[in-house]
Parts: sequence; structure tokens; C-alpha cells
Amino acid sequence: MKSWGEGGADRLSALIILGFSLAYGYAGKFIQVGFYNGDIGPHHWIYMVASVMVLLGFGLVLRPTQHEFETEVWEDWRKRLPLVGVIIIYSVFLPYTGFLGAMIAMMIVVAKLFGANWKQAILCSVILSLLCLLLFDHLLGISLGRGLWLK
Amino acid sequence: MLPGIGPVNAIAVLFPIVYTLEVPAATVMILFAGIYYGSQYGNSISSILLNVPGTSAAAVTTIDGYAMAKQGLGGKALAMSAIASFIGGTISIFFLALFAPKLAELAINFGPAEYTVLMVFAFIALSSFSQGSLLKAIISAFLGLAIAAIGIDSTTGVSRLTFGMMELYDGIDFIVVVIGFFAVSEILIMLGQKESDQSKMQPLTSLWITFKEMTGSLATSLRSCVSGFLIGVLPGAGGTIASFIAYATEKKLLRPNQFGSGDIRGVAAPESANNSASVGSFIPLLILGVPGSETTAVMLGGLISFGIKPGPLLLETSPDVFWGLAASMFIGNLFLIILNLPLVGLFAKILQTPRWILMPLITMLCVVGAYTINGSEFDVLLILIFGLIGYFLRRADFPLAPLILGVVLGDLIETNFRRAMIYSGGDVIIFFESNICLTLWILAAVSLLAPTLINSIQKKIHS
Amino acid sequence: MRKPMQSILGILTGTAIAATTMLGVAMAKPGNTECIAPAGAGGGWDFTCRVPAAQVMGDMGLINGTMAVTNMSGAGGGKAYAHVVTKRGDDENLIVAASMATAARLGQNVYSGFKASDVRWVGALGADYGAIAVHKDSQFKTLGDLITAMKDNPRRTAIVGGSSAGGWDHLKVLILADKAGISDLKAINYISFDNGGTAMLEILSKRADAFTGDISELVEYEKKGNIRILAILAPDRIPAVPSAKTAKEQGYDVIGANWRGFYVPKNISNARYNEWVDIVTKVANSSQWADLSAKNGLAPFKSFGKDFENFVGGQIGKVAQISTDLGFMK
Repeated sequence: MKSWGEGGADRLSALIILGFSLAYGYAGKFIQVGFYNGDIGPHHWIYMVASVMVLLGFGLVLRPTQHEFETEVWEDWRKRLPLVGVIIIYSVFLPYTGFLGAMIAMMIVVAKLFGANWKQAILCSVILSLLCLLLFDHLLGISLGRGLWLK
Repeated sequence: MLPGIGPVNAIAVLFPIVYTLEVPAATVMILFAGIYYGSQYGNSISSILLNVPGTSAAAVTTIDGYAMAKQGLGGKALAMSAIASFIGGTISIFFLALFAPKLAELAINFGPAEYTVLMVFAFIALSSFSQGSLLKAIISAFLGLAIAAIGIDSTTGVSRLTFGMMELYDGIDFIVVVIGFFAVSEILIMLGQKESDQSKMQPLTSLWITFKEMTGSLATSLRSCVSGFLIGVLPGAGGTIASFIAYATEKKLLRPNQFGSGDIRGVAAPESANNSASVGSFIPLLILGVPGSETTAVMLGGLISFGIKPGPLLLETSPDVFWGLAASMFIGNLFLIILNLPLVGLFAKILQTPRWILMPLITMLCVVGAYTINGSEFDVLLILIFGLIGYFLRRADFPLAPLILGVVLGDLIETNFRRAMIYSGGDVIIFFESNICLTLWILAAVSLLAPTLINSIQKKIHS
Repeated sequence: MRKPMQSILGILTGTAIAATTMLGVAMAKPGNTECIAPAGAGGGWDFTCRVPAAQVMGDMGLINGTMAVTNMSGAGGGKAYAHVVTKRGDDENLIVAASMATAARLGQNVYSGFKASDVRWVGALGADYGAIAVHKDSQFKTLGDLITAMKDNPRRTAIVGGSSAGGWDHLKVLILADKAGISDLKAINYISFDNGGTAMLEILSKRADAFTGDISELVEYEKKGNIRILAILAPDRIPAVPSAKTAKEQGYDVIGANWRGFYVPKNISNARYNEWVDIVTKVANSSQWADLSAKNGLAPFKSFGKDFENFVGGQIGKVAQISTDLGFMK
């Protein structure tokens, strides 16, 4: 996994792009096309975008740049995955816990990820979240998600 | 100064308040112009300091602006952004006053075929946005087009690629794309061990622009102002295309340059073009009653509520409104520079906040910004997905600015292409018929060949 | 380890930044009333939001504060419809401009499967009759000239309008063509634009041959002398443009009334729905609106609440039938 070889990194991304564009073009087949005027309908655009992307993908396979991936470090993902996790958890739990609970929990994790100690993380999360809530919900009347008990 | 808070929202929110206060129309217009410029500048701040463009037009500013901020030159970039905006905004007001009726003709003569060619021209400008490979820049732009096609088709009203998901019927909001690809991917990168050491901001060095930098950027600002203004006059094209084209032109014209790695002229060009484009967009609004941008659409509403109906009769029935608006834009511009220049140092200090406060704060604002667009948790998930895709695209060395261009142009290029093809009955000759089309093709060809031409000329001079 | 004082200072800086930056974010949505115009500014829906809603409701004090107007163009109103149904279903402060075009699209079932019953219909307060216009230098002097061209050379006779393909502006031309005995209706070259305003630019530039839209979109241009109105699709002539002949006068008995009104999200409370009905009724009966609507080429047309819901249902049925008859919809 250390070396991708000459242009290997670009070939890999090109393959992913190829796969994506084929799927994209294929999805265009399922558009329920109604009446359209002229020769180009709503699905043709999708085909056009997809086919150009396929060509571009092939182009990148044939003429990759010398760019090398810096190999992904697992250590880094041990920090990134929790961020991914808390955002997912946030969007799932927001309807139940409401903004304050979900946001404070998320911010504590993010603050910890960026090297805060517990005291700092909690203090920072609580203050910023409260401030945000105060501003949106109370001053401007924009709901940030109230949760189950405040409906 | 955050993702999603463009001038449109600022004016839309403040308008009702001003209306109830019953201030005279002229004052309101001046206030609006002030807000308009102010929030536009606010977007430049987040582009430069945080690599998060708040509007599509500011996406270009991130390239050199953020690069400068990383080198500790954030203050300079901010100051240049304010100065270039001022130059672009002010000079274009004179254009507006002098040429408005003539330029309205240009807006009329710009049909679907011309728009399509203009978009192609904008795409050719992409060649300036690739650090390494042009192919990657184009792929990035097409990913943007692919994202833009999701949702209801403007021409026929059928839903495309929504996979039965209600949330996608509306299409994906531009702000979600920007927050995801720029801000969230940035946070992910920051979380890496290596990156967090590498991308540590250099301490702020000088805040002030030297005389040499000023004179060096002056020509850039002026050129960008002219091209930006002309593009702004076309309804629908607006600041995004203007800033992309201005940046691309300058990058090709100026030799030598460090565009892409923190050239101060790379900040001046898009900022000047963007501001003069927004002035230009008042021409179709005032003369034709057709708003050229979202902001002018909101302004149109304002004018109508004051009993002024922009349209073909405006210059005859109420010329005072026209001149009042021009004057108020000038004052708004002046205010902007007077208020902001002294504050540049303060803004730049934002970066010195400890990371464990700044990063959670940015995360919070991303999540809240995405949520409040539609009040939907789905958008929060989307910024995460786009953030992850953006992260890998950046690791694989794909530039992201073209992607933004693709998202913005997607609908425009598609509908205009389709309209042109209906006009011509499927014959592509329509894209080569009018003088405007031909001019644009020539410009496109020149812009493709310019770097080689300039190089060979320089060689000749030297030898 | 930082000293506690430093951490507190840090947090204070953070909150200060948060406060200033969030003032920005906060502007995303106003807390008070909003009217969505499902097209760009300058067209008919935009007018419905800005004048009878934002202006008159505000002036008469029928709403708290003032009303924000949001332009949400796309898919002939389909984009806004989907937005309201999927995302704003219980927004009590939202009204949306609607018109015959909305009903037409619903009748053809082209709002991605959304039905008229997915929203609640508040009322209509005026009607804008259809009109066909050409550039002042156009070779077409009468409606008959245009129809002959559409018969003989449909592909080369480009007709522009502000609705998407199959929308109301398109339908008007089709109904007219059908009346005139043109059999291949699909050959008629209609090109859709975001709104009447941008479609009009196509006429001013002479790129397109004819414009189909509503009278209110034409009044200013007619006064300025840029265009010629070939026909209005009204029962009688309209005071705003007294010289324009009706289609009926020229032998084509077609009437296209584009009513202007509002719908609201489905899941709002009954009390609030009735409140909106009451507000719209008051606006429709006000002298201010009578004056403003006449100036903009609108004819009186009133229908509210339950009556209006039934009326819209009937219109949708009619369009569905016309579209099927014309071979436009399966």
C-alpha cells in the first residue's frame, strides 16, 4: 500500500470517477420523461454529463499526473471517524434531544479532538451552544430543532 | 461573514425593518447598498481566513486569499480585498451612470446561444484553476454539473435523480455544497497529524499593503472591473462567472505570477470583478425590469414597495431613482472601505484564537448553517457526505473551485443550451451565428493560446 | 497546560467571534411572514407576492410587521410546490403565490406526483387574461398572420413564454392553435423561460417570433411602444390596453383567464388557515387593491376558502381533460 506506482494514484481516482459516471448515466434512464420540446429532453443532459465524465475518466487513466497520494495514516482517521460519527449522531438525535443536547455533545467531542482538556471542552461547548440557541431561537425566532419535550 | 449569508439574506431580513421605520426611500437605498457591500466583504473575510466561501462568487478568492493567510499574510489579503472591491465597485458605478441604456441593449442581445457560449468560455477559464492537470479541473467541474442536475428540471418540471427522496426534489442548496466541500473537508484535513503541523498559520506579519503591491494590483483591479461589469450586465450570469473569468484572465496575462500560491493579485482580480458585476446587474434591473442576480431581485422588491416600478419606463418617469441609486452605491462603497480597513487587523486576529475553540465553533456554524437553510437534518448529513468526498478529492489533488463553478453554472448552461437548440431546430450552427457568439469564441481561443503566445513574445524580447 | 485565566480569555474571544459571525447566519430566515413567488422577480407570481401580499397586506395592517418575499424559480412552480409540501408543511407564516399556471401543472400531474390536496387553497383576488404579443416591427400584424405562420412553418415560428413546457403559457397557445384547426400541436415551437420578464427579452431582441403570457406582463412595453399585442384572450377589451383586440373579435373564441391567488402549507392549523382566507378576502375587497390591480392590467376575480378549493379542483380537471384531448398528456 505504500506506493501506488507511476501515476497510480490518479489511475485509482480515474477508476472511481469512471464508476461514478457510469452509475450516474445509468440513473438517467429512470427519469420519468414527459413531453419535451425540441430534441433534447431532461434525461439527455444527464447522459451528456455522464458520457463526458466517462471520457475524462479514460483520459485520466491514460494520462495520469505524477501526483502521489500521501498514504492515509490510520492514526489520523482515529481522529476523523469520531467527527464523522458525531455529525451523524447529531442529525439522527436532533429531532429527539433538541439542539442544545445534541450540539453540546457534538462540540465536546470536537473540542476534545482538537486537543482541549475536559474542562475547556465542556466550558467551550456549553457557552457557545447556549449563545447560539439564545441568538437563533430567542432573539430571531428561528428554530434549531426543539426536541421532543418542547414541542 | 459565514457560509450562506450573502447580501441577499441581509437585505431580505433588514428590508421589512426599514420599511416599518418609514425612512425616506433614498436613505433606504443607501442603507441597502451599504449592507450589500458590507456582507459581500464579510464573505471575503471567511474565504480568506477560513477557506470557506460564503457565496459562489467568493470561491475564487479562497485560492490565493487562503494561501496568503497560511503564510501569515491574511491581513494583507483582507486589505487588498477591501481595496479591490472599492475600486471595482466605484469605477463600475461610473460605467453604470454613463452607459446604462446602451448596455441594456447588450443584455437584450444576449440570447440562449450567447449564454451557452459564455458558459463554455467560463469553462475554458478553468484551465487556470488546475495546479497540476487540466483534466482534473474539468472532472471537478463536471462533478459540479452532476450535482446541479439533481432535483426538478427547470424546463420540463420532471424530477431527476432524486431516487424518490423528498429532500432532493428541491435540488441541493448551493450553501450545502460549499459548506461540505470547503469547510467540512477542511476540518477533516485539520484533524490529520501531519496537516495540523503543516497548515499551522504563520504568525501575522505585516498588515499593510506596500506601495509596490498596490501599483502592481491596480491594473489587475481595473481590468477585472471592466470584464466583471460587462458580465454583470447579463441577467443570470453574475458575480460567479465574473470572478472566475477575471482570475483566469489575470493568471494568463501576468507573467511572472504566483497565482495559486498566494499572489495578492489573485485576490484583487475576483474581488474587483465580483463587485463591479454586482453593480452591472443593476442595469437589466433598472432599464428592463429583469433582475440580473438574487440581490437585485430583492432590491426590485424594495423598489416596488416604494411605488417605483423598474422597467422600460423608469429612466423617463423617475430618473431621480436611477441617479439616487448610483449615488447611494457610491456612498455604500465609501463606507465599506472607511469602516473595514481599520478593522482588518482585528479580523485577522480571529486566526489566533486557540484551535480547540475555533474548530468546534466552525463545526457548529457549519452544522447550524446547513440546518437552517431548510430546517432539515438531511442537509446536515449532506455536508458530511460532501465533506468526505471533498476530503478525498483534495487528497487526490482535484481543485475544488471548478466544482463550485459547475454547480453554479449547471442549470444555466443546461437550460440555455436546450433553449438554443430548440430555436435552431437542433442545429449547432446557432452557436456560431451572432457577432457576440463569434467574439466570445475568439476570446476563448485567445485565452487558450495566450500563455504560449505571451511566453514566446517574452522569449523574443529577451533574445 | 494553559492557565485557567487564559482559557477563560480564549473562550471569551471565541464567544465574541461567535456572536459577530452568527449575527450573519441568523439572517438566513426571518421570523415573520413570508410569501414565496415560485418564479424569478418581474413575472406574475412575483407581482402577486409583492403587491397584494407584501404591500397591501402590510399597508392595511393585516399582518404583523412586513412580509418577506422569496423568489424560488424552477419547473414552472414545481420547485416551490415541492419545497412547500416537503419542507415547509407546517409553516404557519407562509403563503405562496399561485395562479392558473399552478392549477394547469397540477392538472397535468407534472409536480412530481404532488396533488392539489397537498396544500390548502386560500383564495384568488384577480385575474390576468392571456395575451399574444410580437415585436413592433414584426411581420405579423394580426393574430391571423401568426396562426398562418404556425400552420405553414411551425418549426420556424418560435413562441416564448414564462412557463415551462406544458405550462399555462404554452397551453394557451395550444388551445388557440387547436381552435384554429392546427392538427400537429406538438410541432408548435414553444420555448420556456424562467419568467415573463426574461421571455420578453427574446421578443425585444427579435430572436423569438411571438410571446405568450399575461396582459400585466405587457402593459409597460406596450406603452413604451416596443411591442404589438396581437390578441388578448379575454371576453372583452381591457382598460389598461384599450387598443388591443380580443381573440374573439378576430374570430378565435378562446378565453384564458389566469387567476391570481395563494395557497398555504397543508398542515397549518384551521384557525390560521381561516385567518389567511380572511386576510386575502379583505385585500381583494379593498379600494387600494382595486386601484393597483386595474393599473396592472388585472380584471376583478374573487373566490375564497372552500369555494376557491372547489374552483381550483374544477380547473385542474378541465386542464387534465384539455391536455388529454390535445394529445399532450396520456
